[in-house]
Amino acid sequence: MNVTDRRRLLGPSNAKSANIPETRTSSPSKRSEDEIRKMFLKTGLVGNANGSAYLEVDDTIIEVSVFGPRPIKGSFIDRASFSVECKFLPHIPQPNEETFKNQSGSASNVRTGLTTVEQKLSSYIETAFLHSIILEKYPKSTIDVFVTIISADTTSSSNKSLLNLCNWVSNCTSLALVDSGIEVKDMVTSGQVSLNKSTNKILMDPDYSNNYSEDDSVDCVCSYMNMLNDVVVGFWIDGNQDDLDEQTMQKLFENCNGMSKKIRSNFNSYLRGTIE
Amino acid sequence: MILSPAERSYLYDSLIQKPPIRPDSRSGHQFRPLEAKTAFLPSSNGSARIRLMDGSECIVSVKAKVVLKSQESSLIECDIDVSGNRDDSNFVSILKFNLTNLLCQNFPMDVLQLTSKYSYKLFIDCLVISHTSYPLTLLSLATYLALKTTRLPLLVSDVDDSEVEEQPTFSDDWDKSKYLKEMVSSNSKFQPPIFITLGVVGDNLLFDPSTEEEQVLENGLILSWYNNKVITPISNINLASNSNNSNFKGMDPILISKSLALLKKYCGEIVDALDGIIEHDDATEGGIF
Amino acid sequence: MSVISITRPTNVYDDEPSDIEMSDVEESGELKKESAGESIVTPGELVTDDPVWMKGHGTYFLHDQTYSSVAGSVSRVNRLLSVIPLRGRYQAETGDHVVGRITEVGPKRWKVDIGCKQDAVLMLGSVNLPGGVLRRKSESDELQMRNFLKEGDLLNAEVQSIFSNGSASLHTRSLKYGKLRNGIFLKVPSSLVVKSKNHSYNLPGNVSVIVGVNGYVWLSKSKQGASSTTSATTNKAQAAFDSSSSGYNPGQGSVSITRLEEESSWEIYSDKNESISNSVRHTITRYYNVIKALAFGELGITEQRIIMGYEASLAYEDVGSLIDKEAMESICQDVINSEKMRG
Repeated sequence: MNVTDRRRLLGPSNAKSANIPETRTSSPSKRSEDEIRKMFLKTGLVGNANGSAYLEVDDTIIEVSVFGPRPIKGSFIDRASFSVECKFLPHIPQPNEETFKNQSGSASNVRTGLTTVEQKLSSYIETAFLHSIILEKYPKSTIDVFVTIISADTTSSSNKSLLNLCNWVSNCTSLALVDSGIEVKDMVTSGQVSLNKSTNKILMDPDYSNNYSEDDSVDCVCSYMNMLNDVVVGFWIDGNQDDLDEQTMQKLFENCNGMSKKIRSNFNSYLRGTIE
Repeated sequence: MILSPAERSYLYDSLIQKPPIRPDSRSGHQFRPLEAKTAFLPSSNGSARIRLMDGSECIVSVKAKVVLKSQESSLIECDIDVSGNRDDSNFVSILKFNLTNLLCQNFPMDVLQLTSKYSYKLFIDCLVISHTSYPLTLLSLATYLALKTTRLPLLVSDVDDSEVEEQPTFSDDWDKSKYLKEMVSSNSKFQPPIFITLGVVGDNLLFDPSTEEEQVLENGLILSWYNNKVITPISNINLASNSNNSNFKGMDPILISKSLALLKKYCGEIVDALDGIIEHDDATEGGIF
Repeated sequence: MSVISITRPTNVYDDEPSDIEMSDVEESGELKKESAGESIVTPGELVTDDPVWMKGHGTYFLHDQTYSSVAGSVSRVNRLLSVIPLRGRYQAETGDHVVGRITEVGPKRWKVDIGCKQDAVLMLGSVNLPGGVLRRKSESDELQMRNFLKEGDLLNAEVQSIFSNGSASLHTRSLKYGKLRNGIFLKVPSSLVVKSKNHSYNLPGNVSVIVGVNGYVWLSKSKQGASSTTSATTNKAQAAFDSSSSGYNPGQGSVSITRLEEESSWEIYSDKNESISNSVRHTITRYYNVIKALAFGELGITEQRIIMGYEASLAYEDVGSLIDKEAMESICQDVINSEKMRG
């Protein structure tokens, strides 16, 4: 009996199920300790900004737009004024926000200005880039950098993921500034490492989301200008360290510098690629 | 504050000498003289007031509240008010971030424990009445004094309340109250962490830079000191907090290592001086300035 | 040397040496001794009910009676009655030698902060410009005013006149006025500056000071005598270099005889310091601390006292210790003592 079901639209009788590869339950690819996570870069995405950059590393997604140099009204200044504003998208959890949120604040749902965490991030970027930009070239103007954090890894309850975010934001800002054509002395690139105190092992660009034991480590983010004698333009050391000695510090800086150089060479080849 | 080019270059050339020639001839590791008074706010658990000769002044008050441990993420909350600056400005937020970060990471929280359910929570209110140079050191020293003179009422109810529904009760007698420093276990000393700001010019590191010096610094450092050790967080900062300092630049990592040695050498004295003030401060004597 | 000194606050009204002798407040406020040359009044206090007095600054007039509107000392000059505030902002008077900082460059004028209620005005026509003292101001001068003086620059000047709204007009039409170089700036309360014929002094140790009537003080290395020709020529070369960097090239490279005057006058707007030895820098810091100490002790600041304070400070090997309260008090005491000895 060949009774066809007329009420429904049926697929062809010789249909096969589509061959969708099984989604791999992201097995954390074993990185070696001095390997940086893979990143995705793109510059010039934001049309109405003078320069912009987009960066993805695992769960961290950052977009930076540079506006300027723009003329200012009012009193004369002989160097451009430089400002940075970092913002998380409104519903993105911020690293370690529990500690810094103002519990006494009544209207917590209404966001007026930046949160304390955002301010700290902004201020790190501003300090790190202040020396790099040749502000003397742009009198009576402002250069404004707007950073949007679209997604961030916030699994760590301490400041560590904030340090990692600082690292990627500063790297991304560097690209955006180059894209804007604003004159800089050198590109600023950063590195972030974590030193485990018990094993005395350095982990480069640590991934805090993957069962990372964080109790016993000291973390450092450090920004360099690699072509100018590797000077430190910004750094922040945080973590559970009760006695910081010179050796530890040196070790942290050396490894941050190594990471910043790797990023720098990546950036260089990316920038060359965009020109060609 | 804006200086003329001639002033800037004179100041910079003086500070870069070895040893540096600071405008008031202080040596590199010398603080400006301070005046301090502790325990002067009658309705606070602990308080301190500290001021510089130029009128910079800061008041810190510590108040304690009994909270359910399960409902609090942090047992210390700082609030900072700087006169002349908006509360949501970058300047105030960064001060708040730094102080909160320092205290939350390095405060012996076990002294605040009351029972298995309840604990004290400290509210640290800081008021910067007036300031010329970056006020973080001043704030942190005042916080140190206030925390050291913080007294908490004596718990009279049972420590173990995991089984019973009971709120903690306290002794009415204020004389029986205990200082925070008496509540730490006997083998360790109660010493809240402090921040030290350093200015960087050439190879010189300057303690407690004045506002004029801040305008020509090449960089600034914030270091923390706790229990006779340099601890984290450590970071760099633009102390002039504006972008018109043309001298601002990067620094050699060696200098940062050097700053650690400098702190180890001199911070002991700073803490001793602070402790000296607490020891000799008599609440009944003298006005509050 | 100590790292830090923390002291307990002392009562401010302890017996500190003070220039101003507080006269005892009369029991009854009504009984004002009009014969007294100077007395202290507070705001709202009746100064006189005699209508013959002319009402000056710091007073107000209500129901035929004159009241004080500030806290200060009563001054009676002929028929003019005024109250001079003990503290408060500097009030400019014609002829005052002041130190000021440029706050704004406007059309044909600069705004100058001299610590007054309002910024003073310095007209383009009231300064010496390169190319001869008596030449006319041209449009090109107007366009490059920022090359002469810009925001933040310090200068010393004389108050030329006072406008009806109380703001001052300055001039720098003398070689002793103009831009300040080779030193550091500090502020003292203007009430402590004692007016005198001259406000710029050469002090022992190759240091000069300008004590502006407005309480702004400039300490600098003394100018070399005009006899040293070598330094003069290097200065010219320096000035030519500076002016080229600021965008204006008056005969750059070729120092012709006709340009000489023009270039030498560009020097007065140079931003470059001379080379200053460390010993002079140290002496400047010593004077800096001495003046701060005098201000701390509320002593009037005169050339004599600065020098006496300097001599007293020589007892302190380490100049950095002069910032301590005891040291400052002892210097003030020394100054007062040596003044008493001289009579």
